[in-house]
Amino acid sequence: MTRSVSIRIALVLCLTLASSGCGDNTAAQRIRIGMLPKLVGIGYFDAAEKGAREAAAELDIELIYDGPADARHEDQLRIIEGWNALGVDVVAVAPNDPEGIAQTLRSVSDSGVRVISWDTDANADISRRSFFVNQAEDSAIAQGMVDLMVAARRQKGLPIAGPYLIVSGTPTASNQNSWIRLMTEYIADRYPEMELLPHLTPGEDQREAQEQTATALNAHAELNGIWGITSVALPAAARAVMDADRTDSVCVTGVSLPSLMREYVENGSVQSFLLWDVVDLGYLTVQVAARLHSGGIQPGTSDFGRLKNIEVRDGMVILGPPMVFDSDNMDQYDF
Amino acid sequence: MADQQHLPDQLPAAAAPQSRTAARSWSARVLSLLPFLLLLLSAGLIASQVRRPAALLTTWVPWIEIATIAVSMTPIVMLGGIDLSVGSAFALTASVFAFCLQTGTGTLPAIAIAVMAGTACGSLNGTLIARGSPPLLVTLASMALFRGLTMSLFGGERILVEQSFQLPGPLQLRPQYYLLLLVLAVLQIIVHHRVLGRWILATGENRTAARIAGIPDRRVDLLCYATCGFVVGLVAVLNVMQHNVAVPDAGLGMELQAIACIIVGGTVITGGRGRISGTLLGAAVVSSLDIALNFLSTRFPVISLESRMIVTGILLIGIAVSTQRTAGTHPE
Amino acid sequence: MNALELHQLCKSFAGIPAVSDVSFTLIQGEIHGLVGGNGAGKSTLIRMISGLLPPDCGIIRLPGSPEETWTAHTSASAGILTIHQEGEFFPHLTVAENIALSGTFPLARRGLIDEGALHENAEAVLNHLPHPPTPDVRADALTNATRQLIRLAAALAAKPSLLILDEPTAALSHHETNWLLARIRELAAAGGTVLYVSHRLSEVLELCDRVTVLRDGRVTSTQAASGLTAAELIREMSAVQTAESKTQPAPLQSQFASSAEESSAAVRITWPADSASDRQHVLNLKRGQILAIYGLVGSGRSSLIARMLHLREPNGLQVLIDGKPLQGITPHQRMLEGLSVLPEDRLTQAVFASHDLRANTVISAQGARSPMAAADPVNEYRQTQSVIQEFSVRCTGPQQPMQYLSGGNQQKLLLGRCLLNHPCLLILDEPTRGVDAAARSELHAAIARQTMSGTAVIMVTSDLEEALSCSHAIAVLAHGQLAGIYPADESRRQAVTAAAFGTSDQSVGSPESSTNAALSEPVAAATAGPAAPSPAPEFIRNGTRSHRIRDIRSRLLAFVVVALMLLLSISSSGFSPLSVIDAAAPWCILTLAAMVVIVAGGIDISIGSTLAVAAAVAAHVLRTPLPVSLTIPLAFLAALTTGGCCGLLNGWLHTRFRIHSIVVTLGTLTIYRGIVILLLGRNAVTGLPQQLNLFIQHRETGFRTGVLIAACVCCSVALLLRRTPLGRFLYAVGSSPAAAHQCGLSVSSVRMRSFMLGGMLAGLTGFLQLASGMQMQGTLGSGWELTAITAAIIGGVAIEGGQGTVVGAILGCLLLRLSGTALIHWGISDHHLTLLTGTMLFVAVLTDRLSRQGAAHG
Repeated sequence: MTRSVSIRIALVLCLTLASSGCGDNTAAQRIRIGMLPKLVGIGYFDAAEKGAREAAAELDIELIYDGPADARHEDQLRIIEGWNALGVDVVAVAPNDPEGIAQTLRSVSDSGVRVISWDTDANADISRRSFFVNQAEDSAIAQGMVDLMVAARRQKGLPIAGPYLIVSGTPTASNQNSWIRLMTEYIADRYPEMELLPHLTPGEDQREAQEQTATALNAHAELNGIWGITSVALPAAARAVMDADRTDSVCVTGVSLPSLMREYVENGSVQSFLLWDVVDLGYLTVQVAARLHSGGIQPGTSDFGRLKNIEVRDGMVILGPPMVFDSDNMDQYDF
Repeated sequence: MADQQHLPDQLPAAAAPQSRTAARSWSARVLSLLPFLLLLLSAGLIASQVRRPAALLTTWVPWIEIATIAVSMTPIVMLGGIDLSVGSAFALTASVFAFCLQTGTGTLPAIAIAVMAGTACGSLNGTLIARGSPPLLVTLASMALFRGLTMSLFGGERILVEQSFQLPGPLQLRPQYYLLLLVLAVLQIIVHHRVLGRWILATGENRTAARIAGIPDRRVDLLCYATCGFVVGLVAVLNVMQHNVAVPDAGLGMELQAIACIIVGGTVITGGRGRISGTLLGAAVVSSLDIALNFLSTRFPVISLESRMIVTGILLIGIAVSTQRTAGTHPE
Repeated sequence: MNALELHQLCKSFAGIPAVSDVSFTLIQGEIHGLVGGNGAGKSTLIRMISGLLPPDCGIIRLPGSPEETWTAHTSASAGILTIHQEGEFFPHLTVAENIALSGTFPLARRGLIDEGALHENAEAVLNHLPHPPTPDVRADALTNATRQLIRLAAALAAKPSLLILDEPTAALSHHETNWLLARIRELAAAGGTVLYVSHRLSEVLELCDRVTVLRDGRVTSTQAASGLTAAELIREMSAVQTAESKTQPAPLQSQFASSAEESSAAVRITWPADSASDRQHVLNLKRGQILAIYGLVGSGRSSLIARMLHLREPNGLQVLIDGKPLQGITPHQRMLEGLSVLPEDRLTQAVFASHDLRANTVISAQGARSPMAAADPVNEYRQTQSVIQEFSVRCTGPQQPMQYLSGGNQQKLLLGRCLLNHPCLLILDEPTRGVDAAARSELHAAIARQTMSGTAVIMVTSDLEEALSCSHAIAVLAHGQLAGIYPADESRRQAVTAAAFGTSDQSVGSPESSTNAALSEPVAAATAGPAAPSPAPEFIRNGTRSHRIRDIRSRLLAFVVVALMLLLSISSSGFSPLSVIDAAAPWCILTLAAMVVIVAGGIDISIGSTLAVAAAVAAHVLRTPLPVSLTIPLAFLAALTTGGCCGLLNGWLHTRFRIHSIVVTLGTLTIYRGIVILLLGRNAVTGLPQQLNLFIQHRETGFRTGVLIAACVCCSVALLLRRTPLGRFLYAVGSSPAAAHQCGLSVSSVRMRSFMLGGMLAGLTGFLQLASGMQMQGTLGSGWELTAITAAIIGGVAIEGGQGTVVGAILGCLLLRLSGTALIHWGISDHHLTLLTGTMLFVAVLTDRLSRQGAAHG
């Protein structure tokens, strides 16, 4: 008896809920934008969320910001498919696997949803994504990192020639991979005396990054410098160098957040590093999404909300040149 | 004069057959209804939030894949075993399939090779387990082995597939749906209406007794694990055909999700009892709950990732508690 | 002076009285025999006296003490010790530990086990045995008989005020029985009381001062043993029963063949008498004949049956049906060839307890069918119904779960199961053990009926009455040899019993064997085969082969680790073992966390999330505005406590709701991860006090403080596991939960403690991780539980529990870390690490298989 009663109650609840949703559909709808980071729970993407929410409030649109707990692309697939059914108008995704996600993005865009990528690009041809919101030109980031390393070496009066190591994130992350490629080319071109060791891919695991860097430091006694090219890898690499007491001989730089790097810049193990305004990146992404939905985006230079003179070309919306962070300007940013 | 000395330790439980139903408390009854209630609630929530109902069909596809694997794993659990290597086998067969296609093999031969690879994975497990090794140990090892093979053979790279496969099927349903229905139907018949199913349940309930009574328990082991591997191969093939890529870290965590579906569906992890349809229910509950909570969180940001995880974990344990409580009343 | 008084005890189960109005007293210093048929209520009575079962009415009382509720505790403090017929033991623990666990653990100062006292204690017990094993031998290397002897010796050595022995000589040879009886007399002479429960009436009469007879749960008499004969006892035990009339087998007259050349036998079983000569033992049966195989326990009956069924290596045993030898190598194949077996221990070997009667009945028939054949429930129902009717099974119908049937009815159903296949040869192993008298006669009638359909029946029994009344012929086994085959005639009673003892006939007219002969010098048998001497104690069986394999494996592991370290030092200049140890330290602790839970028989896949929760809590504590000297220790404690609580929750859910630990920890894995993200609040953790890191990283005498802490922890855990009672309890519970239960060890409490300990260690790992990284994100520890479990397994921890060492676990962890390091040093892509790990795990699988095989052969 209890069984049938409970099932009946549940059925009633179910129908009530179902019908309650229907009312919403007739009201004037705000634009729904779904923004998907690589993963949730690291400072970089939390900062992006802040900017995104700011833009959403400004434009009065509904923003859904959600991501997987681990940097897995299957979870991203599930979320995107869910958003499709939920009826989002634009999907903005930072894919963990640019190829793996491509088909899904394409089928989603076939059903009428606009797709853009941010922070990392998806395979543009297959996925048919409309735009890629890029924090900076890949080449600018790559060259910037190399230049910073050279500057750091020179400042300490150390030679440029010798072995260097790049510590990346997951093996499939296309933004990191394209930076690595461009760095390699730039070095071959400009600083051929720099020798690049095979890069490490500890994933987004800070402990793993630290351990692998420590091992690499042991393996190569004359290591000149380490680039940590994700927000997780750089502080981990800096700590590994500190633990090994080799801050005088090994220069560390790369890409990370000021909040994570504060300690290392203060004690001098890292001189400067590269980043961009992550909050602005999130802000821009939402702005682009909204404008895409309501009209379209033309190539050239235009303003997006409070960001002026943003360049749009070749399917990319570029935030601007990368910024160098050092002890002078770090405190002005709180991400 | 009945004999009372036969089951000294079990007597208190066995002593009151007629008071069985009365003894089940209110809380136990609610817990046993929990899967149904959750399913209905989730359905209602989803229905209330969805704006493009047609897209729900594609939303469910990843869950359909997990459900198919869970259903094919159910006989193993009924046997008293477990298979932690399904996720890794999935990745391996997907990579094998993609590699074959990439190197120019025809579609059908590539499918055959991939499915054979999957069956080989399952057979490896089955052979070792049939010879007496504990399933947890063996499948832990094969989990690492298969994943390792995927990474080492294919360089840890994803494998792209150029061909596109148009397999919409009638009713615009993805082929994964049909595979699930097929696997479900076949296993339902085998487990519940064929002698092999009786063998499986007997072996899971008391392996020694089954062996002495004349059940070829080793053959049963091999069959169940090999079948699971076979189905995993099929699922992987369909997955690659849909996404045109095989990723080396595919299937991570799939085994745990499959186990969750099986448990929520009422099959006891120690074996001897269970229903194939139960796993389908379990998968339905787990998937709708996940999707419903995701939908809800867009409306109510307080239902964030963390609270979803906590709720899912608590529900899993609650349902597990209820499964244990009903032990002994319904054997099949 | 009375030792114990029983007044009007009664006990019922489900309305059916097992014991009614039982009153007698035990006089101090006497040996009191308790006899009765199956179902008379003996074990219920014993359990009430030991305090395991509360009586429904009546009083158990020590004379002179006030009346109080009789519990296991009161019984134990009254000095009552019970040795059951089949005791459980801990296979992976040593003899000394097994002895200690069944008593109390000798503790020395500060809660540590005194190894010396343990050893001495064990030796004191063992030295009384005829062939004492050394105390350090692992229990699974001994034979059942030796284990039983040890149990008895330990009980005697404890000098209880009342010793209850339930069928103690069942597994013993007559030398060992002599030994036991002598010890019992010593105990009684020293003032102890003994309650001796046995089927062996002549033993009882010989040993006991007084004998109480139970029948149908009531005492029929308590009288002095002198002057009593076994025949009188039997009459008294069986008076009112449905007349145990001699069931005449079907009139296919017993033209059984005794000569070896008889070839018209339908069934013929031959096996070599010994490995030296060509002599063969032969059993011949015609269709429709019942051959009883009679022998005392230890005569080799069970092994004979196991060999016939191919559950064990046949070693030359051949079964020929209609002249054709059976080829099958599994019970399934043998069944297809016409062999059917009803095993001895129905609960563990025949019954599917929670399945219904239908499933239990038709299962053998289904084994003979093709797997893809349709299962026909209607037909199954019908078949079950007809079995129920034919064998008069008392039940509510085919859908009733098997576990609700009484033993006798279960046995009848099982007999029906065996016969559904119309086997050529039906083997019944102790068919009426644990079955009440009414069901027993029904079974005998049913067996006799089968002969009419042409089934040949072999009935193994230790009940001479049964052998004489229900078979055509009796084959007597003694000491593994066929001592003779006799027609089942009352006149051959004495010859049969004599043969079973390997003696010439000296009868006391007792239905059981003349144990008098057993107690005196064994007389060389005239008719039987050569009387084999008391078998040399083969207590070091092949079981130790499994120990050797494990030893080799652990040495190999150590060798590989050291070799790898050396290799790396040579090939790569920057490598230092110190750096590996630095990095491995927190992983070792996590591996120990996994190990501790696995050793006790559980598994915890949530330790990765647990360590993250602990780290998050510690981070919160560290960021409070208190002085650093306060926050660091507080954070440390907070991490340990949080980890312990998480583990405790796991343990509680596991034991309270009896959910498998993998399911529980699957659920809590998600819950704890959610809590981590909740605690972190979507912010990366920064701003931790630098002193924390400095403290951990500070090098003292070449090692970082973090490593020293880890080393301390590892040593403490090793100490805990090796030297404290809790450690032994963990291994005990993992080795055999059944034995733990029997020893009064609370499996639940020990498992809970193992989870809590594991959680604390995980919490410590989280703290160390926080300190060395000075940062934390929500994904900390994700997936680490699998690595920890893998390391433990590679290090030799058995996944079922009960085995594993701290050193092994640490070595396993080091090996994993070294592999990863080696790949980086040698420039090999780290893609191959997973394959390497998988290979190492497979080595573990193979080792496990080899050691299982080693243990099985014996």
